[in-house]
Amino acid sequence: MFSFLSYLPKLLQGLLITLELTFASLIFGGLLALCLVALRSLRIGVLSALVISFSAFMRGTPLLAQLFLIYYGSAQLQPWLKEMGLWFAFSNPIVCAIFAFSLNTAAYQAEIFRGAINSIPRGQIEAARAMAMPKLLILWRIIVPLGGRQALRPYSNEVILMLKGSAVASVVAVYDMLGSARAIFASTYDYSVYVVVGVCYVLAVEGFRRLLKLIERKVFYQGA
Amino acid sequence: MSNEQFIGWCWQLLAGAVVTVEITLISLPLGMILGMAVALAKLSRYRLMMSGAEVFTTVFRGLPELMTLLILYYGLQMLLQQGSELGLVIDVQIPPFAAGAVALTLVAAAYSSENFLTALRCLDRGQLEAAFSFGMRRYQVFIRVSIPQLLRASLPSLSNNCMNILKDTSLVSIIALDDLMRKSYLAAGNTKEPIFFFMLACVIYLVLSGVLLLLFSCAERYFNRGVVRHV
Repeated sequence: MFSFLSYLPKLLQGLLITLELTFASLIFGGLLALCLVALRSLRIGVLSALVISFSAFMRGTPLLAQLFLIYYGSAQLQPWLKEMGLWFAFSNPIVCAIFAFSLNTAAYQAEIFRGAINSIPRGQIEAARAMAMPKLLILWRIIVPLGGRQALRPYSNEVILMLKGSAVASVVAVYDMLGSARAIFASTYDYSVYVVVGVCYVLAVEGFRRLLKLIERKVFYQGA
Repeated sequence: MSNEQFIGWCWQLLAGAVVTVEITLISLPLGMILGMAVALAKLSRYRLMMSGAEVFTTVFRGLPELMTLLILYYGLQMLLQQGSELGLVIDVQIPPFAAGAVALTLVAAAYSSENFLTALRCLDRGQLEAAFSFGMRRYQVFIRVSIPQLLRASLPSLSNNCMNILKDTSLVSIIALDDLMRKSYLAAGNTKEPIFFFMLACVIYLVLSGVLLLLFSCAERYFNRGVVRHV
C-alpha cells in the first residue's frame, strides 16, 4: 500500500493527460466534423466524394494504424516539415496523438451530425420557411434542438469511445493513464497498478454514461 | 533497400493479415455466443446471474481494449508464475495469440450482449406462446423462433461492433503477436518507409472491413427473407 502511494502523483498526471487528449481531440474533431458536414451539404460532386472517402478511410482502419501513420510518417517527412516550421509540433507525441485522434473522431462525428440533420422532418423546416424565418434562425430554433436530441446518444457513445481510444496513445510514449501504468509496471512488476487504472477507466466511463442518461431524460421529457 | 526486400516485406504484411483474420474469426463467433449467454443471464430470474452479467458488461465496455489485453496478458502470466513457484505448473508461457483472442472475445461478448438484449426485449411474446402451445420444447423455441428473429433485429448494430473488433485486433501487436499491424511496424522500421507500409496496412484493413460489411449485408438479406414490408 505504501508503494502505491508513491505512484499516485504519476497516475494523476496520467489522468490529466488522458483528459487532455480526449477533450482536445473531441473539440478539434468536432470543429472539423462541422466543416465536413458543411462541405458535403454544398453538393459539389468532387468535394462530397473527398469527404466520403476520408470518412470511409478513418472509419475502416484502426486508430492505432492512423496514429502510427502520423507519428512515424511525420518522421519520414521531417526535412519537409522542418522547412515548413511544423516540426516542433510533430516531434511531440502528444500533438501527434491529438492530431490523429481529431481526424478519427471528426469522421465519426460528421456521420453523427449528418444523421441527426437528416432525421429532422422536412415539414418542420418548410413550416419555418413559410413563416419567413431567416436561415440562421431556422438553424438555431429548428435544426439544433431537434437534431441535438437525435445526436445525443450516438454523441455520448463517441465521447466514451474517444476516452477509451485515447489509451492507444500510450504506445507512442505518451504518458497518459495507461502509459504511466505501463511505465510503473515495467519498473516494479506491481500488478495492482493495472487494476487501479482499470477501475479508474471503468468508473469514468460508467459515470459518464449515467450522467448522459440523466441529461437525455431531461432533454426528452422537457418538451413532451 | 533493394527491390526484393521491399516485396518481401509486402508479403510479410499479407502474412500478418492472415493472423488478423484468424484472430477475428475466432473471437467474433465465440464473442457472440458468450454475448448471447450474457444477454440471457441479464434477463434471468436469479439475482446473482443478473448482477454478474451486469458487472461483466460494465467492466469490459468500460475498460479500454488495450488495457483489457494487457491486464489479461500480464495477469495470466503472473498467475502462472506464482503457480510455478508453488510447483504447480512448469514454466508455461502465455501465447500472445491466446491472450489476444480471449481479450477480444470478452470485449465482443460485452458489446454484443447489449445488442442481443435490446433484440430480446423486442421479441413478440405471442409467437413464443404459440410455439409452446404447439408442444415445442424450450430449446426448440429458442433455436427455431427466437434466434432467427434476434439475429434479424440485432444484425445492424452487431455489424458495427464487429467492425470495431476487427479494428481492435490491431492492438494485439502491442503484445508482440505478428499480426498485420506489427508486421507493418517492423517493415516501417526496417525499410525506413513508414508512410508506404502503414498506408499499405490501412488499405488491407479497409479491404478486410469492406469484406466484413459485405458479409453482414448478405446475412441481413438472408435473415430478412421472410419479412413482408407493409407500406
